[in-house]
Amino acid sequence: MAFITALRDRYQSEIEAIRASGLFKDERYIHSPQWSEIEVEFPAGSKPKKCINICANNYLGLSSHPEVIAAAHAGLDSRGYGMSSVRFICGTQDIHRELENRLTEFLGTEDTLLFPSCMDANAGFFEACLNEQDVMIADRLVHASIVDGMRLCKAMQDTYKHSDMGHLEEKLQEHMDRRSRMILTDGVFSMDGDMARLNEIVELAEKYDAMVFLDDSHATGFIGRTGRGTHEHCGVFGRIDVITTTLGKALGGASGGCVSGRRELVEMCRQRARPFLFSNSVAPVIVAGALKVMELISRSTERRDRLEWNARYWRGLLKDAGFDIKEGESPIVPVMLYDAKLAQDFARDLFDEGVYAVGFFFPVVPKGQARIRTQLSAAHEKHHLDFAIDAFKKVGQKHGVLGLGRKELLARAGA
Amino acid sequence: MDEMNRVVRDYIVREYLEEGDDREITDTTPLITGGIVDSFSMVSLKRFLEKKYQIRIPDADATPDAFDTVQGIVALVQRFRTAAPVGV
Amino acid sequence: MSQSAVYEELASRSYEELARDFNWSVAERELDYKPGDPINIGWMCSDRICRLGMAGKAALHWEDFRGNEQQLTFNDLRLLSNTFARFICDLGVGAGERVCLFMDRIPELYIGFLGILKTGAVAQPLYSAFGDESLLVRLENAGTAAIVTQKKHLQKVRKILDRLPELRNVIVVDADAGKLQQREIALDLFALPRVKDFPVYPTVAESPSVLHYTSGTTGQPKGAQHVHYSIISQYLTAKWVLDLRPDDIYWCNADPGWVTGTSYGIIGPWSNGITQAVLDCGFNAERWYDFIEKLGVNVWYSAPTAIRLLMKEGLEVVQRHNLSSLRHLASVGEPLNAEAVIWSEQAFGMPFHDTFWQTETGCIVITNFPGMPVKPGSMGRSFPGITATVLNTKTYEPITETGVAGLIALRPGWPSQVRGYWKNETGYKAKFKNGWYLCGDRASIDPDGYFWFMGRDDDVINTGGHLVGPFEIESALLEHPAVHESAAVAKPDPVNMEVVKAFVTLKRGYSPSDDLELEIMNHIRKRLSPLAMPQEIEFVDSLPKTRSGKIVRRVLRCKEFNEPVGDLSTIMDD
Repeated sequence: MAFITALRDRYQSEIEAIRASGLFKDERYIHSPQWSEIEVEFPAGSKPKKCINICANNYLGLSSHPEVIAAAHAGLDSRGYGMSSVRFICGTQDIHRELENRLTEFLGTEDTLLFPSCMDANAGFFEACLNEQDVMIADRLVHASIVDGMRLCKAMQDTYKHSDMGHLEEKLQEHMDRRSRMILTDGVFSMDGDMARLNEIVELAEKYDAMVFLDDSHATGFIGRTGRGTHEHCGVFGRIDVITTTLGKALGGASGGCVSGRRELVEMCRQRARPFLFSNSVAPVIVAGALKVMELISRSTERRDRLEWNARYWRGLLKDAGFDIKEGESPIVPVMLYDAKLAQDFARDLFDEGVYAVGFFFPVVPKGQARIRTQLSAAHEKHHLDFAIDAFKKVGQKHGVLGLGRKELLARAGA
Repeated sequence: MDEMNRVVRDYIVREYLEEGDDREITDTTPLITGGIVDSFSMVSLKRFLEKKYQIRIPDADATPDAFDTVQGIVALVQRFRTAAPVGV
Repeated sequence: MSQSAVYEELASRSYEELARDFNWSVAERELDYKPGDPINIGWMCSDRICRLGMAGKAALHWEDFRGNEQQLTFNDLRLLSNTFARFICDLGVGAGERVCLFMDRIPELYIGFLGILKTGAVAQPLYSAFGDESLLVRLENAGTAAIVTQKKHLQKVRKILDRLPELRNVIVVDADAGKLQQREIALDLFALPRVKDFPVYPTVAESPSVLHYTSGTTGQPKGAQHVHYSIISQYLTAKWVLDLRPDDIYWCNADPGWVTGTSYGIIGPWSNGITQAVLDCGFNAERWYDFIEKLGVNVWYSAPTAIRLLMKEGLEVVQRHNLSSLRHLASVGEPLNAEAVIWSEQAFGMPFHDTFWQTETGCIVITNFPGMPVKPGSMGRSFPGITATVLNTKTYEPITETGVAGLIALRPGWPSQVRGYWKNETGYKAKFKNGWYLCGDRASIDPDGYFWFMGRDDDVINTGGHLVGPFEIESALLEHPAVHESAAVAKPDPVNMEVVKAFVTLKRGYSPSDDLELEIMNHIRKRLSPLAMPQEIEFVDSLPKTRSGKIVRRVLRCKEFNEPVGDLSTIMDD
């Protein structure tokens, strides 16, 4: 047996180290479709418990929408289950191209290419489009997948302080000698729910002749008056060079992602991006479901309007109850507890009260920034949120955190 | 008379239809209402007729209605051909 | 208050009442627009009307000279424009790119206009009678990405295709498009499955919408660039000036190749949810009156040239028709002469109301309102929200005395004001003096605030309500092998107000003849357009020039109009 004891010991001790540092991730088994109410088996082996879900990326509530399910069924019947091929051999169906066109229309770009996931899109894009003559300048809080994509690319790497436009400008000036500059940012940053200052970024890009790369995974479908994303919200619709986004969150939540943007950049990905070239594309059934999603979100803004209302209502409830939240406009609402242990205990107590939310702490967020991240969905009814706030208040009282700010909370945790 | 119809028809096809425009022009095809000749272009058509047939058609008679078909145009020309020629 | 009572009240309010406290936000409110919101003309004219419960209402009654008819509801308009939008999107047409509409007044033109705007692209309508040269300069300047045309006009496009590298797609809308070549693609719009849901591009107030080419004295025609916010003034002026009311049948004679045909032949009526009639048929009095009678047209927006042609046909043909449905008449294109106003009172029992505006203004700016006393021969008063005056030609200061001629000028800032000339910033800047926008026309104002038109302030020729630039004509004249030098000027005309007259000197070896005159006329007609064709060519030995050799058109023009030339010394000195 090649997996000798020494190896097994080594990995076991590494896993133990993860557990000891509090970073071990347990999966919880959900016994129902994704929705605002789900049945969760936790701890493993226990009877599934019905609870309100307030931590899904199901922003538009389309993950289990009957029309989407029906369309996926029809797609399964008409286009089959799998392709057993990468795109460029015999893995592209008419509906793949159709979905790409629908995404192009919706995002206001010139062309789009589907990837197995947005993680893959981010991992493959930079290497395909930039080389050692170029520079990538990224916001320090961009998503992990962008960081990976940068690592795979030969272009020079640099970063600017989170949303610090002065710092970004310095960096742009510093790199004027490169053949081309690309600014990399998330649209909505997933941990704080804050938005990139995209209008200023675009202005700087135009001033310093740089391209703009935007990962809008936490925005596509609901941010902006018609839900097109952060670029719409910031008034720079049509002025972003590359947008990557996901089908795995608001847009049905199954899987898949895309690169959408300037015709030539998309073509470079079609020719060169390795995750695109060497992996099957999104399965036909998902494409069919996603096409229905595009239709639904093109038909009316009702769902994103509902989400906006829910987010505003939920923020109000939390503030009135005396919680310390990160201000913002997105449906990502972090409830700040600052202390890692407190966040963990809080989440566990919420679950006991029938509310499913997750605690985040270092290294996912900076030290001393632990929080419960709540995420709204258009599928939340008012009564869901009213139920959830009661649970939050109850648990908040138990831990005595209501009405406290950062200093008091940290002081309490230390005591 | 038939000869005149042919001359007018040919002139319209040659001068007013684009190559590749395969619309057929008959003696009763609507020219003005059909958008083949507009009121501005009438002037050059009128000029052609006056030159070709040595006549002068008064402006009052050169109405869009009178110019709407080859038939109508020929009738108009005939009218002024039989009338005394006006000083050129 | 009932709907009709609202309109009666509106019509009964005096000019002063309407103008007092006027604010364009009246239109913003009525269109449910809030500053910062997305605003898209294509959506406003179709989807929004459907959402107001008028999906089944007739939007378009279309008829052609053969008697073919087509009816489209607002829902049809919504779905077909979605289908059109998706078709061009799938071809790769991107937001901001120019898409030219080059066709007769067929339903696809109206649908295509809304469809293009829904994609965020810019609609560039061009008059289908344009010849290949006229087409070329406008497509070249705009860097047009796609052109939508009919088989019958395809040849003109093919002739210039090689010189237009940026033109990626030629879309032919005939059901049977015939054999197509490279870059060409057929679009049988009515045969395609209708697209129910299209993500209308979230254009905002200042996003470009329409590019209309207009002629100036010097250089090639300029592309007047409008924005989606223009709908604010187009909506309101259509409602107030054209007096459009919910149950009206409205007929606008203009071709959407010109600004009237889009501002008031598409955007104005449809943003108001009004049924409009389109007759794709050249001038024919009998046919036109039949159309009014048959459809029961209530509001008719026509042009002086058409009205004068109708006058020529006499009252007898009017009396043979029952035109009692007509409630309001308006006219645009060039000043409406008093005789025509008086005749229309005899013929239709009501005057034509003159309206003054131009491609650059995007909407009616000086006008006669319903309910406002019409002074035959006057253009009327400035629309509320528009500050209009006449300026001294030297100081560019407003003239305070009444009855004194000056340059018509507008205070910039109304919603549909042109935002620039395409790739011609200098030309655009030149239109502004002393904080005023200059229309290029001269007028005087009487003690009641009514404007009286005097003429153009430049060499542009206004023929049948269309502006034709002398430079374009002269350039095309020089292409003719016989022409040595030329000057194109306006000559008075009883029907068209002005027509083009050309003065030509011939090259050695050519001599003047009727044949040559006709040949040159036809040359211009085919290269440019019937409008630009000189209705007369005068062969001369020499042309009046400045000391540095520039041709002085003014001398020739004054001769045509029997006006004194005045002091030429400064001009001649160049």
